Amino acid sequence: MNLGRSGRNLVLRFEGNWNVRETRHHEIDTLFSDLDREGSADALEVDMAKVGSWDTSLLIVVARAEDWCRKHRVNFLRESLPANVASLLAISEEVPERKTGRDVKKSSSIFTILGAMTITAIEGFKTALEFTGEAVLSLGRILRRQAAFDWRLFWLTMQECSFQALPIVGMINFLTGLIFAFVGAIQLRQFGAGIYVANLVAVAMAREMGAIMTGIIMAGRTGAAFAAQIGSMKVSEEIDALRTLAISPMDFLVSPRLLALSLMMPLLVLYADLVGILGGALVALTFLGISWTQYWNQTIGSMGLIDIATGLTKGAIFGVIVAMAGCERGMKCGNNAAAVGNAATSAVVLGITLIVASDATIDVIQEILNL
Amino acid sequence: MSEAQAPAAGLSHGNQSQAAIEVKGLEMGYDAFILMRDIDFSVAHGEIMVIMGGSGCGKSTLLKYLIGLKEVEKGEIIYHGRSFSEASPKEKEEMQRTFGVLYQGGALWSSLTLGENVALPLEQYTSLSAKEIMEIVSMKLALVGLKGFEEFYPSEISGGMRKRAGLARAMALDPAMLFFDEPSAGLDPITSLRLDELILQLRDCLGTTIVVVTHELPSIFTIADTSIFLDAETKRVIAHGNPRELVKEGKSDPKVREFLLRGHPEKTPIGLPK
Repeated sequence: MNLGRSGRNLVLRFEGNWNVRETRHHEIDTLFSDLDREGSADALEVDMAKVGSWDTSLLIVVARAEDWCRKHRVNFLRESLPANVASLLAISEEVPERKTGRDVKKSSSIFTILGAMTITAIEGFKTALEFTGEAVLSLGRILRRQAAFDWRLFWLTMQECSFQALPIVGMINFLTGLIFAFVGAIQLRQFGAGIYVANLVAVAMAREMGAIMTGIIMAGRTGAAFAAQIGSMKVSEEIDALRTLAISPMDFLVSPRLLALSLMMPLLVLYADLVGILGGALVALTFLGISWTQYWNQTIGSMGLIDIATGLTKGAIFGVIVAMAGCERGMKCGNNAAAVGNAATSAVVLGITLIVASDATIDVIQEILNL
Repeated sequence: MSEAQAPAAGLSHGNQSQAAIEVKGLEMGYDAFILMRDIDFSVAHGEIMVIMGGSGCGKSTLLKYLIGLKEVEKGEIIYHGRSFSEASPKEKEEMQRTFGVLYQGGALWSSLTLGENVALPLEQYTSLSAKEIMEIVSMKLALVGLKGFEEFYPSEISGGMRKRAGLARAMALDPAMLFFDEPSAGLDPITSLRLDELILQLRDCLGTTIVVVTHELPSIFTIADTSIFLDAETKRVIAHGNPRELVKEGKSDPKVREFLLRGHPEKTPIGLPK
């Protein structure tokens, strides 16, 4: 590639093979430096007689040369280009560049960021309130038998949230009970009060840990699944199809999941409590030398009905939270595969955060009410 | 002023006298089910071949065999004299880099912008600088009428634009061969015509060998140099040739004629200029 003169015209001569995979930027930069140095001319013509094979890489240099001519008020002789090169250049210019404004830099001052975060938080809160309101209205319609309630989905979700969740809920809660018993055993044994491990495990599992651990497991397992299922339905326009049939997606997709999980969660918590107590019993029997009868009597004596009821109520509340977080994130999902992933992640984070926050709130209320 | 001479179009890939694509005795299927057998055809350099046939006859499946998404169990696929079906995985990858594929929906990566989508093959397989890559991306998007859309995400543009952006990505490395799966499906007639014109320009200007799966009759008559017709009933290729020839009385199987005349043998084929 070189630059020459033909009278008052500059002649840009291309030669050899042009392949987009091989960089020639040094050669191209030298050429444009030469063009700048050559300065004034009436016109720039192109000679491609010695070009072998070529592709887009050649077009780019020609387009750049034409741009140079425009800036330096030199006439670019398009007619000197071979027909196929000129034709492709013409196609690339057929549709003018769209000024999208995407390259405009956004302000990044601290106030702008804080303002944007505040607006997002307020919008998020409003959206959550709206969604809760819609869910309540949907439940009202279901009770009045005015909703298109998908019973198949309800039974299927019940199965997924109960029987199919037993192994993971069982394992995690057994280990939780076991860990609590170990921690308690180390401390209580020093005072000869090893038997009180049973009290510690029973009350902790029944009031707090059974519900919290089950809630967290279900947020990761079922909440994420709800968000992904509904999100992918949104991507494939299945939710739009429901709306155009005047079927409320809340009645058809959200309420069955919400009801199924809220109904099953207390049962899962009860199961979690029992398994957790068994985990504690294993430690008491093997490391503290306490008999099974002693451990069981101590457990029964330490727990009141209020402890069990607290755990079950928390379970139901956590079920509502997990289902609402999952469904809300799914319904607000964007229209692409990445958005489905984000919806699932966000459902888990939101679910776990709300579980911990609501648990703390319930504990404070109970303390105030002396329950 | 020097004489304007047309340079050799496109990059040379292998011996130009050899067929760009040769398929010999290919059998297609899923598990034990045979979808099509004894497929034989060849495509010359710089030729556009259309794969035609009714819905469900295996057009898109044949394309999957051609681009290496399905393993050949029986038969052979040869590109520029080199066996593709019997190549080692490394050789196969090397050959696949000379392909560009446009999938039905564009198949753009949704987490990347259009610019990033087109740039990815260039970043992976060339040593070009970021500035050079951006220049190429800009040119490719300009060629498909999407100049200025570099920063848009696929979810922010229409289906037709996604398809055009998919084509820009398929052309990123200036492939020797381009494969299109239903390029006109879901597009309005004007956009569809523009896409057909672009396909013709790619053949004429860059000498690209192109294989198109379609059952859009106007496209078939506009772009095809040659074609094959897959028949689900006999599980064989029942016609091979230029559709303008195949449509003539007695030149092909009546099924092919009926297809090309849209079920009305007495009518003029749609898209064929009188």
